[in-house]
Amino acid sequence: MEPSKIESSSGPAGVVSPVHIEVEGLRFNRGERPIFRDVSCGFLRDRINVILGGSGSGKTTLLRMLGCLLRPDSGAIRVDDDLDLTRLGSSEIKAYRRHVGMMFQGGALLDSMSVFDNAALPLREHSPLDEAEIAREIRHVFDSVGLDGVDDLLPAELSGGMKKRAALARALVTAPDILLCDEPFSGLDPATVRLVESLLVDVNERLGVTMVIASHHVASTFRMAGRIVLLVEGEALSGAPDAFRDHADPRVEEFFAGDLV
Amino acid sequence: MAGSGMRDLVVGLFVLAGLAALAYLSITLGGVGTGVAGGLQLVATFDEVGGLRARAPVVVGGVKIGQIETISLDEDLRARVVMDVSPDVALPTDTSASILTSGVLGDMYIALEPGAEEDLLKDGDEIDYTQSAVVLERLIGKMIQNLGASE
Amino acid sequence: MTGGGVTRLGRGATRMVFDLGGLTRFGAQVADSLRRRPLRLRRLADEMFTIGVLSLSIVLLSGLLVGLVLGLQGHTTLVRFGAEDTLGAVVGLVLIRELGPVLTALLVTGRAGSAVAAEIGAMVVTEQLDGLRMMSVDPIDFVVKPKALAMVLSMPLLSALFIVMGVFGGWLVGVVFVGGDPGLYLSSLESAVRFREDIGGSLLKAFVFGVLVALISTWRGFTCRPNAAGVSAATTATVVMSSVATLIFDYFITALWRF
Repeated sequence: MEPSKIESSSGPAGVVSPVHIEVEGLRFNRGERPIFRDVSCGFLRDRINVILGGSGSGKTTLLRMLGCLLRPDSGAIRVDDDLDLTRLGSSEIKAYRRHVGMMFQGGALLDSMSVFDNAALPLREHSPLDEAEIAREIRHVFDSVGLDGVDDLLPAELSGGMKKRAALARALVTAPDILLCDEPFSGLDPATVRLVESLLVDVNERLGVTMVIASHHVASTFRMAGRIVLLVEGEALSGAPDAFRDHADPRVEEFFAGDLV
Repeated sequence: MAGSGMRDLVVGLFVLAGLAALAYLSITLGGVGTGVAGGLQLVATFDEVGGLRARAPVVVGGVKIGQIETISLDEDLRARVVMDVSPDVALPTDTSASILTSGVLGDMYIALEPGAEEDLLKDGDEIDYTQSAVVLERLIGKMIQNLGASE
Repeated sequence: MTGGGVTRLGRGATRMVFDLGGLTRFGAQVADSLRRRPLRLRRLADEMFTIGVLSLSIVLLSGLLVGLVLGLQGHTTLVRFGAEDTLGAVVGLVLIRELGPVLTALLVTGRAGSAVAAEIGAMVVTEQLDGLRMMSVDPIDFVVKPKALAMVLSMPLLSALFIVMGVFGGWLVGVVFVGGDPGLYLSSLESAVRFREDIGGSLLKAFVFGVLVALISTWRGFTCRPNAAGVSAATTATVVMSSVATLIFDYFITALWRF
């Protein structure tokens, strides 16, 4: 037992980087089944934070709560120390989401619209930019995620990797402070996983955005994460990747099951 | 964008066709606005109109030339029928009007029988020669009475 | 096991009350969005295409066939009373008052209502609606409103076209096939139809049915459970609920409008 580096409860975490999003004592039941019994963790500002966990452990659920798509039964989610996401009204949620981008597992691109129109949608809806400025903005973002010549295609015509890039581009066009990514590596071949991974790292370094990634992909997590939050049995264990390497907790042991190098 | 333009055209045609159908139902069948455009108004007074109703057809020789506008009671308590007929039909002043039934149980209508005068009926003129509706029940009642009397 | 039956009945009734409440609340949200937000004309035109134009062929064909059958049935019956001259009135009134709006609503439910529910349901499954929410775009305003409005606008147009096709079908039988009087067919219809009671009532029905099918199909899709079984359940429920609602409202409109 060496629990000093892995925090299993709330507390003044983050000595190096300040904590951007602080989760405290989340409880959540789906029907009769408890998903979160007591989840407390912190996500570091401008770093890549990865939520790990087995299927059904609530990775996506936690991510959706960070996006205000779901409300916990009790507990608090504080952003920048003051905004409690669990108590926001609908107009405050809208204001908060202006600073948040979300990349969904399947892309969640509107399938009746072209890739370009999909990415342009948040700008057309909320920004005062005219069409030429929007086109310039989209071009810029598409270049940065390596999307080329797909403007007029429909999402259904994209390959898995391209779809992820398009989803990332749409999440980035509004220049968010927080980027939530749900399973960015699911359904991709190993080469494409590497590609998307380096893309995420690149975006994180260039834009300095706080990323929260829900993933089950252990190898990439240890390569890119600044902080890992492991969801097990309705609770969260969090810490730097190294802390998990030198793990002593049997629950950590069980999850990685020898996957750690 | 070409596909979207084509789509808009088709949607526009669909809306136009739908509106045309609505207009047909309302104007031709529903009778909204007919009889306003230069129709010839004729008046006829009957003792008995039976089941005649507004919008019933007015025919000459079986051809429809107009319809009934209103049916009301005049000061002598007779039924005053205002008809709206096509001004293209030249009707002499001694034209007569009868209320007939199409089939035994059919709807009632007014049949005009043109006379021989040279002068033509003008807008607002009254048709003097009229024949009232035959009310089946009364006819049968009379027949039974007559049968009883003759025995 | 009577207890089970009673329990099920009670549960079903409770479910229905909940559904009614949910549907009403959803309708209020759509109405509120309609009042507060400008129309998205581009999206409306696209939905008019998928809902109105794509329903056109089945509505026109059905209208014609129903008209043919009505003409045939009407003629053989009327001829017994020597009243075949009133065929136009019989065919036309039946179509205008009842069959036009009701059958159009049922056809549109099957053709477009189920498609709307399935499409919105699929958007729930693939998180497209959540994607919109995360971009601070209201899915009701962006997805539901154009679909619902296109449905409400299309229904009276489709119903009118159905009726015209039906009258034409009756005319084909009564005039062309059995050689009736061409003038009498239409004139009997014209003299029998009253504007407010018949045409007005027909339009009112088509409009109300349009609102019903629009709200039920979008609501069922919107509240669909996020999996494939949920989409199929939403589609089925849309068809069942819309059809029953159409027939129930048909009775009450007929009774209250004094046909």
